[in-house]
Amino acid sequence: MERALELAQKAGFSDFALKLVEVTNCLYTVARDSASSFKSWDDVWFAVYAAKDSKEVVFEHTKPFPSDPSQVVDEAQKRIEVAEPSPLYTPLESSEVYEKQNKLLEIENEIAELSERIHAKLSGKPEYVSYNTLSVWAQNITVKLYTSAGARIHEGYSRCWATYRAFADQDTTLQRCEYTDAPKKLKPEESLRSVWEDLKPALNRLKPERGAKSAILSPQVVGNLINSVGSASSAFSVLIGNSFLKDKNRVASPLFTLLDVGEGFPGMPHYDDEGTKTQSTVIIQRGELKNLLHNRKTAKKFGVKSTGNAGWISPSPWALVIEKGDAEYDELVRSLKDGYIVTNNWYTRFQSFVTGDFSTITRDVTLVVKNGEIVGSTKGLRISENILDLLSRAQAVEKRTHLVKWWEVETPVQAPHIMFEKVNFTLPE
Amino acid sequence: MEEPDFDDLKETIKLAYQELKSSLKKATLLQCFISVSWSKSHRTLVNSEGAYVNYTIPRVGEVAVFTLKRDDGLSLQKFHQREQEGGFELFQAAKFVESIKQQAIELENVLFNGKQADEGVTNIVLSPELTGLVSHESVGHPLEADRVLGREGVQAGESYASAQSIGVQIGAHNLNISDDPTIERSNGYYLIDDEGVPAQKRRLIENGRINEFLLGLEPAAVLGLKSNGSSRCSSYDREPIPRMSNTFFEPGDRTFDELIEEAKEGVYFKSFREWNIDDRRTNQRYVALVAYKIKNGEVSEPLLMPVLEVTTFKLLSSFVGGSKDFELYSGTCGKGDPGQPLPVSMGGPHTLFKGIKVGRR
Repeated sequence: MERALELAQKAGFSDFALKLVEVTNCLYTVARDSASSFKSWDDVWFAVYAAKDSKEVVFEHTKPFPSDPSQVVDEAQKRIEVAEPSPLYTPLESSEVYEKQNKLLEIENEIAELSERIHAKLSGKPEYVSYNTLSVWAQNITVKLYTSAGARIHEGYSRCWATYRAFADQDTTLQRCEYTDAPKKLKPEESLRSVWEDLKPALNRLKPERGAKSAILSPQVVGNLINSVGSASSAFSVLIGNSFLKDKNRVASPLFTLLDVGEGFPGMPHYDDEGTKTQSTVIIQRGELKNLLHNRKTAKKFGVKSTGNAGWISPSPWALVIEKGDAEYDELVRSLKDGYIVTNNWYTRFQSFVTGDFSTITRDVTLVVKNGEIVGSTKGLRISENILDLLSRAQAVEKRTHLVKWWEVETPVQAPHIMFEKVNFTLPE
Repeated sequence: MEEPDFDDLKETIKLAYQELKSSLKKATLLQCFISVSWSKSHRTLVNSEGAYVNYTIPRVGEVAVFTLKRDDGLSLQKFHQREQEGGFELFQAAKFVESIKQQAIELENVLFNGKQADEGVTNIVLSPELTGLVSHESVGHPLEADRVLGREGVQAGESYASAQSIGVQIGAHNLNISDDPTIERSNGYYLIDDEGVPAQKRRLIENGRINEFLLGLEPAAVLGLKSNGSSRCSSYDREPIPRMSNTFFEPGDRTFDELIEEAKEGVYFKSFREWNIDDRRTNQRYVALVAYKIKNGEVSEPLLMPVLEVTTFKLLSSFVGGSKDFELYSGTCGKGDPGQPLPVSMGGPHTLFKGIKVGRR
C-alpha cells in the first residue's frame, strides 16, 4: 500500500487513498426447527480514491490488493482522464495513525456452540408453537486505510446479530432480534422464551380494521423506519435534493431525539473512510433537525465540520440511536387504551424521497389492545403515512431501548417502543 | 462487445438532462440523477455431475431518477430503470434521451392535470410494467420451491403455496404466467443454471392453476421432482437457490384499444412508484405514478396517484384477458441470506381485470 501511494504521488495525484477490507462471515440458519445451513465465507475487497486537478474517481474491486500496486495507480490514471472537475473536491487532511485489532473471535466455533444451545431450547418449545425459523450471523471485520495525507488506520472489530421467528401457524407469527459485538453475548434462550411468551396472546385472531388508530410501534418497526431517516440525513442526499429533511427545521415530536453513533456503539469502527474519527452526532434533538451527517466534502459545502461519516462520495450513518423516554412498556399499553401494537414490518417503500410519503406492510402479528390490555392479534394491515407527519405524532416513548438489526434493518438501531396517535392503517379489498 | 466512448457518453447524459429540463413547461425540477452502466460477468462452473459451463454475459443499463414539483408543493418522483443483456452497441443514445424527455412530459401532465380517482370498485388495465410486477411479486416469488418449503422464512418469508399446491386453482381459467430464462437480450437471460442444469421455460400458472415451482436440485429432491434449471447465485461463494429470470403474463389476443374498450369504465395504471407485498405474497399495494381514467371505453384524463390494494387471489381471479403486445421491464431481484441481488426482468401484455377496488393515496 505504501508503494501504491508513492507511485500515485509520482503520477501527479494530489490525493490518493486506499481502503482494504476483509470480512470473515459465519451464518447459521434454522428453517422449521431443522438446521438449514451453516455458511462460512470471506468477503475481501479494496477501494481506491484518487484526485488530480480537482477531478476525483472512486472504484473498488472484490479481490485482494494486487501484488503489483502499479496496476491500481494505472487504473486510477485511466479513469481520471475521463472525469471532470468536481465541485465538491476537498483535499484529504487527516494524518491519524491508529492501530487496534480487537481480539478476533473464533466465530465458527462460537456459532457452532450457539447452534447446540438453540436446538436444546427448540426441543422444549410450547405446544402452541408449530415451528421456529431463525438465523445467527457473525462477522469479523478488519479495515486498513492508507491515505496520501498520512492517515494509517488499521482496525478490527466484530459484530453479530440474530433473528428468531416463531410460527403458531403461517399467519400467526412473531419475531425478535438481537444485535451485539460477540456471539457469546447473544441470548437465544431468553429471546426464544420471550417470543414464545408474547406469541401466546396473539393466538386469539381478530379482524383487522382500517383507519386512523393509536399504535405502539415496536423497536423493529421504529428501526426500519428510522433507517430511512438515517439515509435522508446524509448531507449528500440533501445536496442532490433527494431527502425529505431538506430545508426542514421541526421534523418530529419534541419527544423524539435521534443520534448517529460510530465509536462506542457495538461493532462500529473508530475512523471513517477519510481518516476522520467517528463520533456521536445529534441528528434530531427534541423534534428539531440539528445536524446532517457529513464527510469532508459535504461539510465544506455546508460550512461545517465533518461528522466522521465518510463515504468518499456520500456520508452515511453508522448506527442510529433513539433516546429513551420515561414510560414503562406496560404503561404504554395501558395508555394506548384501544389500538394496535405493530410488532414488525417490511417492504417500506416511498412514493417520493422528497416528500417522505411511504407505505409499509406489517409482518408477523399486530397485537390488538382494548381497554389497555392485549386481547389478541390481527394481520394484513399496512401503514400508509408521511414519515415526518408520523414522527410529529409521537405521544410517548419507552424508557428501555433495544438493539435491532435484521434483514429489514440494515443500519443497526437502538430504539424503544414508541406510541403514536392517528396512525393511518389500510387494508386490501 | 463494444466499449463506450466516455466523452460521447458524458455528452449524452448532459443532453438527456438538458432535454428533460427544457421539456418542462410549468414544473420545477427538484432533483435529477441520470446514469448509464455497463458490465461483463464471467462464469465458469464445473461439478461432479459432469457439467462444464463457461460463458461471459455483457450487460448495459440506464437509470434516471427525477422529481417534479408544482408551486403548491405537490411533487412526483420518477424512477426509470432499463437493463439488458448485451454489449454497449445496444445503447442507443438518441432513444435514451428521447425516452427520458417523454417520461418527464408525461409526468408533468399528471402533476398539473391529474385528478383524484373515484374510490370504489371498477375495472383496471395494467401496463406491461405493472403486469410484470404482479407476475414477479405475486406469482414468481411465492412459487420458489425453497420458500414453499419454509427455508426463507426468517428473511424473504414463506408462501401462500405449499408442497401440495400443484394443480390448485388460484386465478381465472385463461390466466397463464411463465418464467423463461432463454429469451435472448433479456435481463434474466441464461442457458445453463448455476447447478449445471439446462435452462427451460417454466409455466408457473397454467389456465389459472399452479403448474410448477421454480426448482433447484435440493428442493426438487425434497419434493420428489426434477430441477427445472432455476438455481442461480450472485457469486462463486454464494449458494445457488431457486430464482426467477424473466417472469411474465402470457400475451392475449386483443389489441390495447380493444382492452380499454372492454374495460369501458375504470383506471389505466401505466407506471408505479410506491409498492409492497406481505411475506406470504397475498396482500399487495401499488400506487400509480402515471395513470389515466378510462371513460366510455377510451383513455381520458390523468389521475393523481390512484391506489391498487388487493389480495393476490382476488386480483388473479379477476383477470379477464391480455393484449397481443408484449414488453419486458428490467429489475434487480433480492433474495437470500447473505443477500444475492440478481438481474431479472418482468412484464407481459396490457392486462384487464374487472371488479377491482381502486383507492386514493
